Amino acid sequence: MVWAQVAIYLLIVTCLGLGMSYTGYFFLAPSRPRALKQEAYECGVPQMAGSRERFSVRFYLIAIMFILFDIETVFLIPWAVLYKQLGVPGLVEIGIFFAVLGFGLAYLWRRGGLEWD
Amino acid sequence: MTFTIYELAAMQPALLVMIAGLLAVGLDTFVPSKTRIAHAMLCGGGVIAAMAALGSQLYYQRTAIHAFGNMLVLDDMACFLSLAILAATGLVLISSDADTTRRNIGFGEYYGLIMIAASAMMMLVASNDFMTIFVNLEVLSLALYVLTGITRKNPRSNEASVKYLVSGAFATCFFLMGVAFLYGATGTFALSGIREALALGLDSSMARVGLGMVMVGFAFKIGAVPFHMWVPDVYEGAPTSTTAFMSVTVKAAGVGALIRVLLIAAPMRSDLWADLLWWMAVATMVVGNLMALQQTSVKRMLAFSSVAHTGYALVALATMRSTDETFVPEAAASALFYLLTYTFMTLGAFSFLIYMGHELPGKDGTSEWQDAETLSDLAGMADRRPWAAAMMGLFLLSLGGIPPTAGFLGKFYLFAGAIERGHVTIAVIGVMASLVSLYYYLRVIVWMYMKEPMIADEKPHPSVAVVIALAGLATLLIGVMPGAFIAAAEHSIAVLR
Amino acid sequence: MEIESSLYLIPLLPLVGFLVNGLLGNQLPKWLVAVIACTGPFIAFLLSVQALQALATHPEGLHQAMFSWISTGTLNVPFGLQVDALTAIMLMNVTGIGTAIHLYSYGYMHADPSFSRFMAYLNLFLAAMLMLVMGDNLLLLFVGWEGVGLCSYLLIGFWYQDFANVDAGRKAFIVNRIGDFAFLIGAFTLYSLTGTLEWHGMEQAVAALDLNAMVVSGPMTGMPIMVALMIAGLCLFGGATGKSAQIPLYVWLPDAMAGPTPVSALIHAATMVTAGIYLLGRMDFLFVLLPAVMGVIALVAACTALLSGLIAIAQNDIKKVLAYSTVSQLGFMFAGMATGFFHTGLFHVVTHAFFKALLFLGAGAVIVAMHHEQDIRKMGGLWKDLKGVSILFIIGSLALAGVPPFAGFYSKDAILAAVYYQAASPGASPEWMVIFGMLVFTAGLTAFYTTRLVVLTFFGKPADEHRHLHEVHWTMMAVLAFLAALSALAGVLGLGTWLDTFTHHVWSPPAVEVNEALEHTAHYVAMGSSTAVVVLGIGAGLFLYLSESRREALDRWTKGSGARVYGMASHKFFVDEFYEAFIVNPIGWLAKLLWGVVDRIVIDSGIVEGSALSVSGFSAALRHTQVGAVSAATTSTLVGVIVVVLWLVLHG
Repeated sequence: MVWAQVAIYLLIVTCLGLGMSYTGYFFLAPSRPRALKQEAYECGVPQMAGSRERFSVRFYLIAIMFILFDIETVFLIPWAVLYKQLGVPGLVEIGIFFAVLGFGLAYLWRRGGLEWD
Repeated sequence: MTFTIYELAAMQPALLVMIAGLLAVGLDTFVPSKTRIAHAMLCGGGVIAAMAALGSQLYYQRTAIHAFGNMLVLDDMACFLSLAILAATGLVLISSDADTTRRNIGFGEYYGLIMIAASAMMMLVASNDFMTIFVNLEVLSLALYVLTGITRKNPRSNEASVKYLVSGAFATCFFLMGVAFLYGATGTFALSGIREALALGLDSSMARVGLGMVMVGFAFKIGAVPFHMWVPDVYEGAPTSTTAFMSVTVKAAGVGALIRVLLIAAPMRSDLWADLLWWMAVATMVVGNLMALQQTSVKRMLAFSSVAHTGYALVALATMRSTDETFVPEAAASALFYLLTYTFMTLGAFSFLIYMGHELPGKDGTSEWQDAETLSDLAGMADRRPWAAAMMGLFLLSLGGIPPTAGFLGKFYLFAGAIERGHVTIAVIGVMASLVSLYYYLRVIVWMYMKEPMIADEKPHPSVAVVIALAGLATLLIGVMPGAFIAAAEHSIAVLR
Repeated sequence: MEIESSLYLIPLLPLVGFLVNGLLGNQLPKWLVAVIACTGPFIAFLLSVQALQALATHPEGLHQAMFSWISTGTLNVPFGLQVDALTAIMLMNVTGIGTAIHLYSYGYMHADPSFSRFMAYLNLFLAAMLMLVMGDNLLLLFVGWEGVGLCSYLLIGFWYQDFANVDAGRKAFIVNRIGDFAFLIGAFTLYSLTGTLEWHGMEQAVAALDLNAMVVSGPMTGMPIMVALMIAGLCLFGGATGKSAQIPLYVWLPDAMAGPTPVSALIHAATMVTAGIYLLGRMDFLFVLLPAVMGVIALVAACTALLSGLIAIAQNDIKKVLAYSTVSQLGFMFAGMATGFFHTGLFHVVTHAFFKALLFLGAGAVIVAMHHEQDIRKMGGLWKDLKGVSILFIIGSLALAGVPPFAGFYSKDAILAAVYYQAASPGASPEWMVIFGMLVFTAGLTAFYTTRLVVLTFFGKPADEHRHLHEVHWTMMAVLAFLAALSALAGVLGLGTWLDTFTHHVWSPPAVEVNEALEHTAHYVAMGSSTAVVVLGIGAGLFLYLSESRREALDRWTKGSGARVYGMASHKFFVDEFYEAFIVNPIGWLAKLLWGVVDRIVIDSGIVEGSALSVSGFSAALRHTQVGAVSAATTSTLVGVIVVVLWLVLHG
């Protein structure tokens, strides 16, 4: 029975909330639309062009590449912190890691991923 | 934390595949005169080497290798599923010859991604820790997102890729959140650690929510209802060879990992997840089959049928808890065997669609490859391609569960086991559902054998014929002599505990 | 060659012939087909002779166990062949006459375009018949039983272009199936009582039964064992009435004459129709325990003999007369078996096979000569043109009529003596005397209609003076001569006495000691009465039919004041019409009702189409959930997650 009470309570609360906000929106709020009001907000400065502008896909590519390599260098930090304890095996492991990363970079380069044209 | 070289042996098969894949990428990038033969040889070599490594593990090593603080374990189940995945990968590599040359796909990326995905799946089925499970799940998913969209000029392929990426990311969120919940409740990522913690009474709502969300993540990957909505769109949009690859391997890997999670992390809470899986299996079988009924595209029909087959495999998991409340982990063996049979028959059916591909004239005078998709593409093919059509008939009958094919034995073993454990209802539903499925499988056979041909310019690719023949052979072999395979599946589960 | 280890060759050789001729016959020349078809039965005959000789040193019988045939649960049926005295006699009969008729068939059928198919069917029949008599258990007998039924069906409808033949074949098959149903019930009953199907095991198990006890397990629990045994016996006899054409299932045999004449001779006179008598002989250990059932069998047999004897008088088709006479003689055989003197029935089986095969084959020769004319009213005077055939046919007729010293006299006499012995035994049930009377009267009838047949066919004025008779093939004449010799001499040479001693040890001994004095009396009574009625019958036949004027007077009588009586007989006492009205039609109506209501409405429209439509309708509705938008996929996932999480939280 507790659940039934909860359900009824939820129903009432939902109706009340929705009813209040829609009542305010439709009946109480003043509505005087102007062209300027419909424009996108640009820090108070009038808009110069449409906000749905298309960027060249190359920006995304470069950005993704950047993030990729950026984040992967983060793994250097734990290795650097424990450099002495990890010893030679650690060095080998980070070497493999960099080899893979370097391979990726070389591939990227070779396939023209970094060319703008 | 350090490890010995010996522990690397647990990764060795997957590493071999991964290295072959990376070399394929390198070959494409750094070697000037590149041929697809070289790529195929390289990747095929990797697959064979990995199979050999698994074989030596099974026959000479015998004991499971626990590596990296028990994060990876190469036991019999991992070997069994890895071999299934490798078999499928090998077949897809052969049939990809048609796709890469016809559609001018870059060999390096294509072969590389397939190998990387295969490697990730092999490690996924060997993962014994949520950390490795998650990483491998993501590696394989990322590879598949790209493979789905690898025909860049094809808008359907692109659409499928984006859909797969977005909904996949959404589901991954839940998986990750579930892992976080479990970690919060138990303080560990290790499956065995979670089991111990749960046994110690750390069995809070938090842990239950975590378990539920992890199951949702797996259910999404294997395409169980109601997490299946991406399956038809993605399978239909992706190039057919990719569809063939992911429909069989991801299912094997996902179900395998789910079995490991359920059996190692939460065997004592089978009362919770068994009922959940019961409903999921029923919904998946019913919805998958009913939706497949409506399709006129054979490719989309096979996509829904793969949803339905997920449901059949889940029956085994759902009935691990018998009706007299004992826990029977051996039941999972029938799911493994079923996945093995499913691998070959589905791969064969999709390969037939590639085999029957034809050229469509494009707008600017060029031509574009189109794999067979609709029923009318296959109409009357029995006259012109009697052998291939007969093989397709075999695959479809096997999918429908008609003896003496592998599909019949898979279903028989599955449902007979379910009834043995007292789950009659789900077995009846499953049999009824496969009865419905016969309708749409047989419809394809009717079109192939009883209609006049509608296209006349199909250009079969010889390499695909090899795949069809091998898959047909396997389907018949498992159907006629299932003993060794069933024994292997049962052994795989037996050593898991 | 040790015969016991090569028994399997006896049924196998004809089967090989069937396979070769059936598969390749169309490509082979006809003489080669005939050689292949005749070789198998002939070698089987030689082997049978060897087996017969071997029985002298192995009185307990030969047995060859082949392999375990069915083995499920408690039911174990071996596949084995056995030859004892009873089987040996049947073997001689089947392979000997079978070979002769194969040879005859070459002459009779060699012009037919489907000759190889015909020979293949005959070979298959022989293989099945040999399985029937050689099987060492009831189930193997049933295999042969069904096999001969199948061949009978195939051969009756051999000229399938004519719809009437196909109908006759179907009638034979369906009527036999009714009998088979009873047979199976009997077999099941017996199996549940004895737990075995092998002859030896069954015999011992039946002997071990306590007849006054109740059945303690199975579906008949609580029933007295005696009653259960009676059910088994009656049901097995019911099966025999189908195969061996007794009341009420005899109606198929006259129609079966639609098949080629060698078929009528081999299957529907000499061999297959005696399967029921063989069954009774094989199950003698059961029937000697059941005097009441034996009484029923004797009564049914006597009624059959009398009824079909009466019908035979009024038939004009030469083969129909012989067919009804066969039914009548089968009645004699059953009556002989029912007395408990089983060798008398078996003796009649053998002699009947000789003379009835002879008569059918002779009729076949006549029919060939007459360019496939079968109506005896259109024959007449064939004596002048077909001297050889006439003499041989008359020998057969004399044997059938029971004129001493032809074979038929001896065997029929033995049966009558046995029946009289039963009737005159102290404390015998009075029905036996009635049965004896009926049989003696039937013996007279037999003589009468046989005489009529011979007179109308061979003597008198030819119906057509300008007819040109077809030549009779030498193989046919050779076979006729062989059979005529057997029909004439078998009795004189003491076949009956030999059979009695040879088979004596296989029969279960009668319950009471044989009274030798009474046996002698019976012998004289039977001989006297049968000779008297035969003389009377032949005399009446000659008197009525030999003279032209009396024949015409008879014709006038049958069309005038005697039309009613004669019509009853010539219309076969309206038995077919009765079956049609009271059994066939009601079943037909029921079938139509079931087809129209249950099958078409309930099953087809309701269950089949209804379920298919509801599934496809449901799936069409479900299709709308798959809109293909990512938002739909994520919504579905989200709903799934919420359900899963809520369920887990609330459930745990």
